[in-house]
Amino acid sequence: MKRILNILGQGLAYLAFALVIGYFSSQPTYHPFEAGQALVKLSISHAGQRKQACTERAVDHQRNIPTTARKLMDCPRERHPVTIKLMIDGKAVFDATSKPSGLSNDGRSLFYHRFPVKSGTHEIKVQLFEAEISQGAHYKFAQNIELKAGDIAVVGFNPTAKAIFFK
Amino acid sequence: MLKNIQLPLQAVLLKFEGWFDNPFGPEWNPLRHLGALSFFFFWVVAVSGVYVYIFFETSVSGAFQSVESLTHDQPYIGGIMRSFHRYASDAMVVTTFIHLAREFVMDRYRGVRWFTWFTGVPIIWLLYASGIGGYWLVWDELAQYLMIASAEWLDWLSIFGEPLANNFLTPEAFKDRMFSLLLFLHIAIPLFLLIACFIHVVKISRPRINPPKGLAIGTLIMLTVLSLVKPAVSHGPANLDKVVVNVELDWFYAIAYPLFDMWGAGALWLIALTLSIFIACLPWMPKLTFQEAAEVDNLNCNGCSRCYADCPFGAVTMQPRTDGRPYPRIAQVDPDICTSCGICVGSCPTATPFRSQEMLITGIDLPHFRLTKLRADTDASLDRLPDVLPEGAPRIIIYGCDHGIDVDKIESANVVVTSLPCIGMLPPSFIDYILMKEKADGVLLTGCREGDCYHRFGIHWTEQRLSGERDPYLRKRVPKERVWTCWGAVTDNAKLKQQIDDFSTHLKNLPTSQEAAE
Repeated sequence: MKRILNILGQGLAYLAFALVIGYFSSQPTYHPFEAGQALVKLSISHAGQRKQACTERAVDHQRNIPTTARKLMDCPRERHPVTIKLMIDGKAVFDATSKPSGLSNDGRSLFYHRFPVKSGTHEIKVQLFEAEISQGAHYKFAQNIELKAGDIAVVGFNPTAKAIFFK
Repeated sequence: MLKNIQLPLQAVLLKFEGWFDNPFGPEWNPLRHLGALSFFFFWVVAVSGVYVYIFFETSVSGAFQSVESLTHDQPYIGGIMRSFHRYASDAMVVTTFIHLAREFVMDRYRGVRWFTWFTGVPIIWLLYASGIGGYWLVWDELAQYLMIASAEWLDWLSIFGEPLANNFLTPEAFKDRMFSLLLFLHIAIPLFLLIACFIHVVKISRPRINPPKGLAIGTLIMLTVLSLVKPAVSHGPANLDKVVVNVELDWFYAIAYPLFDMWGAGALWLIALTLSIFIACLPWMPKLTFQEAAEVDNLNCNGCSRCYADCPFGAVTMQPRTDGRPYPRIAQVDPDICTSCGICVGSCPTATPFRSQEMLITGIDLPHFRLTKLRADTDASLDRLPDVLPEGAPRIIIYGCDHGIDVDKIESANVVVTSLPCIGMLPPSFIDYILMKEKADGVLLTGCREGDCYHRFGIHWTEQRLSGERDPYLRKRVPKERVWTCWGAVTDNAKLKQQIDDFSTHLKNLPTSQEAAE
């Protein structure tokens, strides 16, 4: 009798464990995104302008360098931070400056942000500044877009076409 | 402060654990095999993973379909294997965290145990990385949600040249090469997890990495039934053009993702790192200091290596002898990992009270609790027993340990108590010493709960010494019916009292030595 009770007790313990595992492995359902909304993703990797323009190296200086290491131009590597402004339906939703990546600040500035929006038509405006803002936007983009619920739209930069694109 | 947290939790845990002792018995109690069960689940995940991998197609377009086909076209084995893979992974999280909590509550993470505790922290990270990585490979909506959120979480560190999340911007951006990398990670990280698990137990002597057979079989049956009743299935296929609105999260692995959505990547990194560092530093908050380490007496150590075999933490090693004595080896104690439990003293053949010298010299001894003191404590306890007791009540001496049942308040007219750092420190010759000289009618040994000795093997070795399976064993001339054991935790005083009553009745019914001789 005791043996049967023990087996029953073990069965109960295993059942409790299985219930915990079975339930929490998939329940309760989680809603990471509100139904009826769409998502605009801003993803741009872009290098700002060089902080200092390239200068021609002096002839005297070149003489002291081995022939194989000689360079005609002296180009400091450091780049300007890049600033991006994003407006959706006339409202500024993003205005940020990103430092160039890399230890010498000579890499690309990276942007990745998500903006949930209601489904429907939206006016998207993007401005990208490769140097100081006072110089004005180097790239601009404006477009009306139609987004259905659950759609993902991406704002990016095409380095070949040198233009901001929307997909 | 720490004790104020640990003791109430310990009482709850021991109560809960006691419930499991009834159906499972102390030997199979799952709460005493949490580490071994975690290892077991790892192997179940590994074996089922190999099966799933055979049918898995490593490509963005083929992964989802191959998993679907495995689940639905061969549910008799493929579906079960997939479910095994998932549910054993979940079970591993559960047993790992209860294991961690239990070691904390039972104060088994400080002192020499710091290394085991400390190396457990990376295991948690690797466990999560392994589990989450598995979900990516199904490439369904859940995978899409977890993959993008994981990438965004990692991108917050700004350590990648391009944001990882860019790989999942559009269906065209996600390439088969990236998928191969994910698969590689899902194989490599669990391998690192396995290595970390072995490092975790490397400093433990005789680690329990396999659960008892009965428990393993029961667990496998449980997994099989669960897999049949609620097979693991996929969500809809991933579509990077669409957001994921509903996901049936595996909360064991993905509990942090809703927090990521609520608080952002920075806050989650802060929580994860702070928590990890805090847990890793717990062994020093505050540090546990043990008494002085065991000492070897060169003149009395004959290099028999019993202390080496019995030390639960591998603190004793056998070294070549250099003092010219006619034995090849000598014991050496590493004071950094000695817990001063005295189990080595209990194992030493020279540890006997049958000597006339005032100072008992043994091959190995504890500086703070020498064998001389144990004999003196025993004699003092025995001296408290009257020669004749009313109604022929038997005279009982109890040997207790500092971590098991609290024996301090148990003394009565016919019961006296002597306490040791661990019951494994008691050389069986002490029982012989008491009973053969008829200094008491019975000897009762207590310690921690069976299978749960604070010093790991104190109870096990004592049982084996009493039953003659392990040196130094209890001599055959000792009447075994006068030696009882009662294993229990600090909360099991009632059990000990009951055991004393039963032992008294039992002793009363035994013939006296005179009667036995006649």
